[in-house]
Amino acid sequence: MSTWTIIEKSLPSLLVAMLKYTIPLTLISFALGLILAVLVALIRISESHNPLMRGLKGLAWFYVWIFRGTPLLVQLFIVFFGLPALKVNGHALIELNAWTAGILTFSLNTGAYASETIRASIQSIPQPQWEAAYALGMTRPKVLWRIILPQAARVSLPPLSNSFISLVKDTSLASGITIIEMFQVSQQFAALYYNPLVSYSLVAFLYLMLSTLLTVLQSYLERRTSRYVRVGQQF
Amino acid sequence: MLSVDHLTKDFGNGRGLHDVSVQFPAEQTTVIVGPSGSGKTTLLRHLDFLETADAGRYRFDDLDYDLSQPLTKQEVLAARQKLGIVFQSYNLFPHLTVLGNIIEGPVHVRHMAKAEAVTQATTLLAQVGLADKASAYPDELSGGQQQRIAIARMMAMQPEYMLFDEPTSALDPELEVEVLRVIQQLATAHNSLIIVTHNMAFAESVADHIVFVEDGTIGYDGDPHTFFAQPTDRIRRFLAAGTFTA
Repeated sequence: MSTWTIIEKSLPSLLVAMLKYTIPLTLISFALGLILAVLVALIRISESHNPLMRGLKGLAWFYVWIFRGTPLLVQLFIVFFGLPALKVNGHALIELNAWTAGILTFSLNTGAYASETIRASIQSIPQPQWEAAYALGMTRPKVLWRIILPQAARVSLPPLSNSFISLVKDTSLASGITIIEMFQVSQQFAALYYNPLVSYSLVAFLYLMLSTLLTVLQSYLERRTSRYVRVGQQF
Repeated sequence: MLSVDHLTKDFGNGRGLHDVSVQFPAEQTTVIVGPSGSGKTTLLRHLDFLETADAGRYRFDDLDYDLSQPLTKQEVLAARQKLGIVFQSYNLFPHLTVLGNIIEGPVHVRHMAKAEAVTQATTLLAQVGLADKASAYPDELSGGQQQRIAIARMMAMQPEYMLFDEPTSALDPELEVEVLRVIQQLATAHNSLIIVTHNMAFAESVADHIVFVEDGTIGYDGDPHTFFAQPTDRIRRFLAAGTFTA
């Protein structure tokens, strides 16, 4: 079968898998991961000494340690195949369908990396910005929300875009926990037409198109959020 | 009236403030002078709780704090909302326009209606001579312009006391003059000002009250005329050091 015929026959299914699984999995996980990341970052930079906050700080540290320190594929396998093995009186304590397990794991994994990005971005905003805001009579949450986070968002945009693009590609690992996402579909075509080079190159091209789209989006957002700074050298 | 009594702060290495007591009279301009590293900026920052004292007493109208005890957030806010400060490095919010900087406090701290805050900001911008810069970002302005915006931002909070921490130390002489002129107008209008400065000519021209800080203690606290006309030996040496002679 010719290369073009293979492409013609597999492209519609691949695009359906992209729209039904790859893109939703990425968008939902990234959104949840980002919310989690901001919370974790705020906990980790907290200066409060109350026992609850200290406990949360320990927990946040532990979470980032685990999710950055172990392979994403292994995390997916533990959540999907491993957790149902926790049994009480012969009944599984936690049983997640593949979709839920995927979203949960991708969100937690992205959140761990992004929390470090956001923490570093917050800490990159100079101390005098805090002082100027405090001097206006703002409380700490208000300083963060009105003055520090908007500036930190600009700083964190390029590294967060990295995480986003990584996540698009990492959703291919969901094929390992029975989700029929784009890469899983391409594996089926590779087996059907006996031409792995064409099938896998085609799916690689589709991932590349998605990443490219995100890169364009990143440039646009960078321009928008950098309106107030003079970027680059001016000689 | 704003005052501190027996204010003490030890930064280690011998620097800090040692048992400092000063009164800052209302509707007067107090100028704090002294050699670099003497503690004059530290003293000013303590007034706005940007530093945490080890001990002392802080009084401001009806507020009366024992600084050896940790203060609550509400206590700190109560004082800060009656004070405004202008920093040496301006510290404007770079992500907000000039107008955004000036209305930030009134709208988000004092809950003033936005339209009212904008009207006030427009008046203030005209007062500091930058009426045409409302929609500019701080990065697009000169140092002198940024500092005048910082003064407008501080005034927008209608503080009882206006604090200035070496407001022109980062500026060229030409730009310095435009900032000093704005501060001088505030002083002439009988606002309550506390100014830390290295500029002795300016200090002499605006001060109603001079405080000389040296090694974390008060070396002089009184009227400017005596300070400049009949200085002690130590003050004479300090004043002479600021005069360049070829």
